[in-house]
Amino acid sequence: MRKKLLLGLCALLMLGVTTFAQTTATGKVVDEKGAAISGATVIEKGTKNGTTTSSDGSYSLKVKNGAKIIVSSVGYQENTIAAGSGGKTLLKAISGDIEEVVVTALGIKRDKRNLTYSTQEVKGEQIVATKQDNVVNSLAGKVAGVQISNTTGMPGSSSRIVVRGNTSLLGDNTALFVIDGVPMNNDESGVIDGGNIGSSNAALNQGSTSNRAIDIDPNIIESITVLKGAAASALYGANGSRGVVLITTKNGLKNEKPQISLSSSYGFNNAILAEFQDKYAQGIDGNYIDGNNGGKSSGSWGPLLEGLKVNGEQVKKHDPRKEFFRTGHTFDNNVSISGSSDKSKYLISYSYLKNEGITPGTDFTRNTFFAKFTNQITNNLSATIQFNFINSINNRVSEGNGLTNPLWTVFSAPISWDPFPTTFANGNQRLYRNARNNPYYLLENTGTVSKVNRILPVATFVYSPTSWLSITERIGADIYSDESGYHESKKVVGGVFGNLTGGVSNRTQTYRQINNDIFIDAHKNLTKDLYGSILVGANVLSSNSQNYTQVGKGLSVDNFYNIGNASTFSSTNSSVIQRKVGFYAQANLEYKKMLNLALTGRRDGSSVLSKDNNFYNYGSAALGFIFTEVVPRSNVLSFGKARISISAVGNDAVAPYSLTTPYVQANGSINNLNVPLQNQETGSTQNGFLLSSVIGNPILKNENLKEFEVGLELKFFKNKLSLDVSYFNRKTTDLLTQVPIAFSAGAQVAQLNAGSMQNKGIEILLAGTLIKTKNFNWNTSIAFTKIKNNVLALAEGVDKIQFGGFGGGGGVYAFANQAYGAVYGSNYQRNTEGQVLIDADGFPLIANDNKIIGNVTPDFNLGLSNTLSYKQFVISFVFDWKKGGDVYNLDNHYNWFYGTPKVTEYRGPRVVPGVYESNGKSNTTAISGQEYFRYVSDIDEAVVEDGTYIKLRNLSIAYNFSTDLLRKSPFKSATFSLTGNNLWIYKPNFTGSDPESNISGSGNGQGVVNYITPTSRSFILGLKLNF
Amino acid sequence: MKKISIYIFFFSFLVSIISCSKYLDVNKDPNNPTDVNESLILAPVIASISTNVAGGSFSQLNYNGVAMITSYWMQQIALNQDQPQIDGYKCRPDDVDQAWLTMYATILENLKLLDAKAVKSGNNSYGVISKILTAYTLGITTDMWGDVPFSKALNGLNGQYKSVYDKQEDIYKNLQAMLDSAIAQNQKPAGGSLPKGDDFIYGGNMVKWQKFAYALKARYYMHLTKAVGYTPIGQANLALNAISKSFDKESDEANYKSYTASPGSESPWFVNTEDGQGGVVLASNLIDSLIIRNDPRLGVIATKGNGGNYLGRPTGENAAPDVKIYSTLNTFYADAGAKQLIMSFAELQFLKAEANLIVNGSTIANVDYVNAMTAGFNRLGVNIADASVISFMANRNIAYSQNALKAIIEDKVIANLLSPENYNDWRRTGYPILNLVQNAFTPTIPVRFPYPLNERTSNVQPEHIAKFSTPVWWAK
Repeated sequence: MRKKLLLGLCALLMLGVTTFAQTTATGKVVDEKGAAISGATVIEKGTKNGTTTSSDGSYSLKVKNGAKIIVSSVGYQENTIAAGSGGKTLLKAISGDIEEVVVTALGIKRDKRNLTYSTQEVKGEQIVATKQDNVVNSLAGKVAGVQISNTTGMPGSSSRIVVRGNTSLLGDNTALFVIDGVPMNNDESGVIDGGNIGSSNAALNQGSTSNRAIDIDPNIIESITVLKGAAASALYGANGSRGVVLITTKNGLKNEKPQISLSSSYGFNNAILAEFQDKYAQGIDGNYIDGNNGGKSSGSWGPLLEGLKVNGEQVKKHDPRKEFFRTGHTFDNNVSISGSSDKSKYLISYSYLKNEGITPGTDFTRNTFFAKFTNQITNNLSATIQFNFINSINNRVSEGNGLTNPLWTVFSAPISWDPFPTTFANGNQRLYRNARNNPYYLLENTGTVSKVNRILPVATFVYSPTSWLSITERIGADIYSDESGYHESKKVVGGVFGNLTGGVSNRTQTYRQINNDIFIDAHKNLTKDLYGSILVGANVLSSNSQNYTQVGKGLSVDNFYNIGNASTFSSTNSSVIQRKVGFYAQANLEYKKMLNLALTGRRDGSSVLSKDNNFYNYGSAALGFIFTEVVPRSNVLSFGKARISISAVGNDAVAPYSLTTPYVQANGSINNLNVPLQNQETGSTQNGFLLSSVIGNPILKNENLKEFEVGLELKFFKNKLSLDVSYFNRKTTDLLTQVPIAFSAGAQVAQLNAGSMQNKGIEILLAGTLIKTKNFNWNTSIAFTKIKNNVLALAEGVDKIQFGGFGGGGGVYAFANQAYGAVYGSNYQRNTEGQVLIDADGFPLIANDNKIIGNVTPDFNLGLSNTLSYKQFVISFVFDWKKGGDVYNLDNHYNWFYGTPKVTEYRGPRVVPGVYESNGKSNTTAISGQEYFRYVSDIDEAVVEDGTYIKLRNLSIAYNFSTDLLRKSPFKSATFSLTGNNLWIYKPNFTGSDPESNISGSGNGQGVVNYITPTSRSFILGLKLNF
Repeated sequence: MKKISIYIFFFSFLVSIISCSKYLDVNKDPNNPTDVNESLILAPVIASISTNVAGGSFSQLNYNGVAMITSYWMQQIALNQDQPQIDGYKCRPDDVDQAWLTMYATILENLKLLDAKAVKSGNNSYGVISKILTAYTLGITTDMWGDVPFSKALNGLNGQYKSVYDKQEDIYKNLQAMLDSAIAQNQKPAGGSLPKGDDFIYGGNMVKWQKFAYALKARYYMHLTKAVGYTPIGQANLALNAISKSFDKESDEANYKSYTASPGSESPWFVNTEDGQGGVVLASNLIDSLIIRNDPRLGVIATKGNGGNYLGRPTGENAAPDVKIYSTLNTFYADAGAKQLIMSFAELQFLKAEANLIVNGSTIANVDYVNAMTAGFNRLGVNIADASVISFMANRNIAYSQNALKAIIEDKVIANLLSPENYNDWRRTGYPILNLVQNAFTPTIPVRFPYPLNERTSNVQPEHIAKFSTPVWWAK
């Protein structure tokens, strides 16, 4: 019945079943590696009778007895064979061609030639070659239309990937991750704070955590395809509108004997530090304050250290930064076994990664086990079962503005101060100033740990009753638990749990996501010139997270970090369920291998929207025209395609339970007070609830994204050079946004459908083989991205919404009619000609009102990748250029005041350029260096820096041992490699470690740095052996 | 056959859509209740009034509450940081966002909900308390900012996110009406549910709540002694009438006594003056005036600096390298378990002295003045029989004879140490006499708070043009 139903469905979809007489030729078309070629053309010679191969490369064609068939596919040499049954037909690749089959939405492999939208593929080898812990970082500089930023140099730190610009004001803007057709969670769980659990400024005060895509082991990746536009990702529904990173894992190759592959690498890395002054000792006004002997001062405005004597002895000079950071080490080992038989293929892989960070005591350890098994159960039913288990442990110390961050007193420590011993005999900390902590004491007495166990099982069944029809059922899950903890000694000043309180907090998060897709794919030559395919499917996505947190403040036994040792407790739990259903269809029509029309439609239902609005429809239409089929190919132009698409996607980007305004337990909302409260007079315990600060909205509907895209794909000189250019214009409207409201309305924000945003952009991928000789090859590719973002409107009456930086001071905002990420803060007071106004004492005046003083959105990104091979050597390198994009550098805000940066080394009198406020004449009044830096450090405008950089992100030299050398060894192949990361960073206007870094993790609040672990430069030795 | 298949397909599609709607019906929040009873709202609102408003504490967010800011400007406390800082009047609109947020979203909105619940359930005691606390909170709000939103405000739940401001004069009428209505409601049957352990001020003692209502009435009458259209004598008479029905002993006064040393329940001034707060110490103006007058309370109020002496920090001076040289708040105020004053018996006595001074002259008012000083000493546990107290009082009576109002307010601000009421008294009477601090951010001492940045951006109103130097209506 089921089969009949499906047949009926297909009839409905107007794919006529036409039959031919005589015999049936069947077979499979494969490439030289044994991989199936889908979409290859199979034609009975001398006739117009033909078909194309299905996704597993198989075909079935009724032909006359004794007929010959011609098999062809773009990028391969044509092959003519006798019609037979069940054989394999090998197609050899036309040399110089770039791999043409790409993975598209739902894991369907398609001929890139036929695509009507922009995608880009990155091969697994390229990803592994970058030696990055976090797979997101390995894409940097390689993909057009994509912006990637790493956060800090802390092991296990998060990375952000945004495809085609930010589209949401406050929601998630990062791409959807999909492994083998199943979405995976890429959230960042965030640090645990002292009681106000999950407060938005936790990252600002305690640092960020890992984004969960870090769990992906690069060693198991066959390829990554980035689906950029909404037309490409429409089948993924709402989440896909932010772009999709499709990860396809490896499997055993066809007809392969068991192969063991071993790879191992060791790397070491060192901090790339900002520059610091190394001449002046602790003190103020040139007078020494002896922090080694009880003097207290935060300033490094003392006398020259050279010649400075205490009790007749020269004060010892320190380099607090170099002394603090250590050399980090990374070990990465992988072993895998793969192989295949007639009916099955398999891969088993285990990886161990350990990254010991440059901050003592920090590390990231990841164990990844992956197994994948594919079996052809019957002739027309195949199954792939895969299982990925990840165990990771991340030990961190705080970063950011909180006083538990050791970098406070590393980056601002005077060179005259000896940090040891860290404590006095009574256990109190020893420090050169008040109201901070000794950095080495914090390393010993605070810390964050996150232990993640995760499984990602996927089962895929493909049933192909006939050559033109396949039914795929795929069920996958993403289940993880994250056990996090933070502890702090009771001698910590201004700690997370209070001042000199100490405490311990534990949090267990469990996340479960089940995804099920069932889809029917039918494709057939409708007439000689018309090829059609249609796909109809349904999706169910359910996620459930549980979060238990307990916070214990006040330790009875110091340095004993168990919740039972605390004197007061608070705990919370939360449970969040979200469900979605989707029905989708896609139709492709291809005329004469020249004109492609693709239509998609999807109907989604979401649990988080108002019941009246929780189902919504959207779709896309796209056209591709291979004009070189009309205009004859020349020696110069070998291929040309133009494409155009329009698409719309509905998005339910709002948290569950946003429709109502509940009461929320008041714990954490009354300064330091724990709720339930203890009534000391009656001895009773009293719980307390206050109205939520977010006003819910019972009529929330989906937000909309509309995109227009045109593209041109050209190949020149027999495919040696290729150019892929896309222009897109995407607009999001009815944004699901928490809009700040007047507090006098009784709350802080209201949940609304309000605001709109636009991204117009150009992405260019230029790739080519510059030189190709017997011994020497040089391949290069350039990925260029320019996106012009504009926030078209916020909610009515709202002129800005903050999403980054601190309250009160400067921050990162969305302003109407500005690019997303405006930096807004205090600024110099200027006259109409733009000259800075100076007061009578020579100090610049500060304007009364804050204004926009920068924008974190870059002008463009350009990546240059090169691979050169000479005989056994392969050299590859990636340059990455980001032009523009400001950074609000709070390190300068603090360090200028303290007098530690290099720029404060010249501290003589200076005249601030500008004119007197009183008479408009040029300023001539000098102020001292100390006065100047202490004063301007407080002006946000003065500490906003252009974040332009050019990085030599990665340079790798590999040596492949020749087969001659290996003949007598057990190895089939052996490769030795030497890799360097961040070997060179050119940052003309940025004074910190790395303009790419930021304090807010993978969240939206990019472009703010505040005492974060510096980026490091690493060198990695690697060896890879195949048995 | 084909047709049947099509029908089956459509049928199953339909079924799946219908069942989908059910499948998607999981959006009921399991983590937060949609309704709670009065008792659960009252307790955190009182805790917030005591901690954030009366105690001025937002230390964990690095913000200053009302009482912090007014105590800086009244030069009772000072911040050991390089200048200008908040104590040098550097108070930008965003610096008061947190204070405003607490007034409206945490306190007034929840009191409005509490009052509505009490009306619905007939639990009159909760209605009485919510009105009195609303009058307390709204009074401080209007005193700091002048014209503020109220009659049209607190309507976010109804989808109204903006509101016009009420004139301060109307707010004051409303305050008295609200307190009268609370007193009237208190004569009704209490209702089914009675406050007890959830009432962290009076433990459900409605007689004391009523006295507190009269105390607030007296305070607000006296605020208008200089207001246009009001006469000092009229206001003083109204105040005296209210005082007669108000606190008649120290145990009547409004305090929050449930702070303890255990983490997560420390008192606001303990938290405000912690090391991590950047050096909150006592100002030289306070210490010096206590020393000059030989005030026996010096040792109760202040600690000695590490130089072994009482040393206040000259407000506005650049930071001292070692903050420990300065005196800081002593345990009566800043112990982790210290009680937080909301409105004292002593304040009421000073109000009585001032009112009697207006109505009956300085001789009759002198009795009240001495009573007020006595109440202040008693509150701090200083024995009034001590020779030092007797001699202090004698000297103060001499000062009183020279300028009665000046003496009353000078002593009132010590009895009311750290209370926002001191800022009202200074703006109303000009006492105590204060000088502009060094390195001041503004040319004169501000006579109001700036409207918060949040209001200036999300609810733009004509009142926002008010300057630091523009007095509120009653102080014009």
